[in-house]
Amino acid sequence: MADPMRVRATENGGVVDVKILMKHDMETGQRKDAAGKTIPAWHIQTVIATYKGREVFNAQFGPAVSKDPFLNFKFKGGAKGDKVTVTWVDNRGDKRTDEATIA
Amino acid sequence: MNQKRREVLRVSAVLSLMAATGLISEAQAAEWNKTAFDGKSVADVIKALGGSGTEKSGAITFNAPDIAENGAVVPVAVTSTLPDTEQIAILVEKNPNTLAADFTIPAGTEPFVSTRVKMGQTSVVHAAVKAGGKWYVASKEIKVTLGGCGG
Amino acid sequence: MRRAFIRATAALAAIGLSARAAAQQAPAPAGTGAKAGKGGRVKVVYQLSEGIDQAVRAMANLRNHLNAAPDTKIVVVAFGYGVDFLVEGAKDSRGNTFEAAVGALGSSGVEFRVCRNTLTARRISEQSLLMDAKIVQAGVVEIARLQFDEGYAYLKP
Repeated sequence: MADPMRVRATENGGVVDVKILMKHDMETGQRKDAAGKTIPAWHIQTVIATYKGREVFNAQFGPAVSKDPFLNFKFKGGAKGDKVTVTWVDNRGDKRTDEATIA
Repeated sequence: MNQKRREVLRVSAVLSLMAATGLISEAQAAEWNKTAFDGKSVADVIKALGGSGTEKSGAITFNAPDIAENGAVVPVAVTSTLPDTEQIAILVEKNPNTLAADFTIPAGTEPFVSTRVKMGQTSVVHAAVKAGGKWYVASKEIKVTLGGCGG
Repeated sequence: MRRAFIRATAALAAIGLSARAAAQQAPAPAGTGAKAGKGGRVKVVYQLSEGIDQAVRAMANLRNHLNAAPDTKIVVVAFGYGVDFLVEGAKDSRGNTFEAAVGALGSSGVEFRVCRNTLTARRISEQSLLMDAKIVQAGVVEIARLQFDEGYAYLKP
């Protein structure tokens, strides 16, 4: 399985602020290696965050999202102690799911 | 079966499995919008996202540096006060492919997103927002001193 | 004949002495294991403990360092006032935030480790730090450990 992402979720006044730092090379498919061969595109395509089974954020990434993607969004109605689950899928079908407890 | 087809089938299989196990709903397991991500201009992208054009809006706050030291990591943040904001997209005009990322804002989620994108060169960057079925945009030029797309 | 014997014995004794001396030098302290020039990756720990201005200079130092020697493994340890630049929203004297610089260095492999003792003493919440930062219990202990146990070179910009 891919490297874990770091997820942080903090609740303030009923709004949960979620910050995610994923680990992924996000190759654009434009770079060439030392031998001159093009390194194929390899990047996260979809990121979905859920809270109690309900989708709270949905992101589609192209290869122009920076390496080790960072994502920050906020949703209403979350409570401290509950979990936020984040899943990403890349263009090779690899995936990663991590969760954070809302602080 | 060629490699690309194999990859597409594999991704579909993974998404179907995720939907089947309840990790994400069927609706969420929607295909990645390849047409939009292949778009080479703002017009192409907006069309692929189902829009017919964009209208400038002062209700979109676009936070990004004026100068990016390193084009590989440019932080951008978008906040929209347009009612019924349902989607936010980041478009980098001069990148090989214009659309960098596309975000769906479900009900109950704030119309805000912050992320980091690659810019190949100095370019106008657009924060496009779909609200009430229509696309609006706020733009700003970001100067890049060191391009970040590779190649 | 006797003279040859004495000479031979002396030679053997000399060899014995030098062997013993070599044996005494051999068990070198673990920390000096990975010496530069003997192959293996160069590792450097940067100490940041002075404040925003030092951090601004360090961002440039780090960029230059990696441009000149891309294979270098760099760990930044921040404690005391050196933690300030890693707090979300921190700005330099020109009003620029550090998010872009830290994010770029982070995705190039630089690690940012922050001292928990400093956070406690200065009442800075862990949640207010940039996502790129990790926490270590004590900054000074981490700096000593990296040098002694892992062969890191020490640098204070």
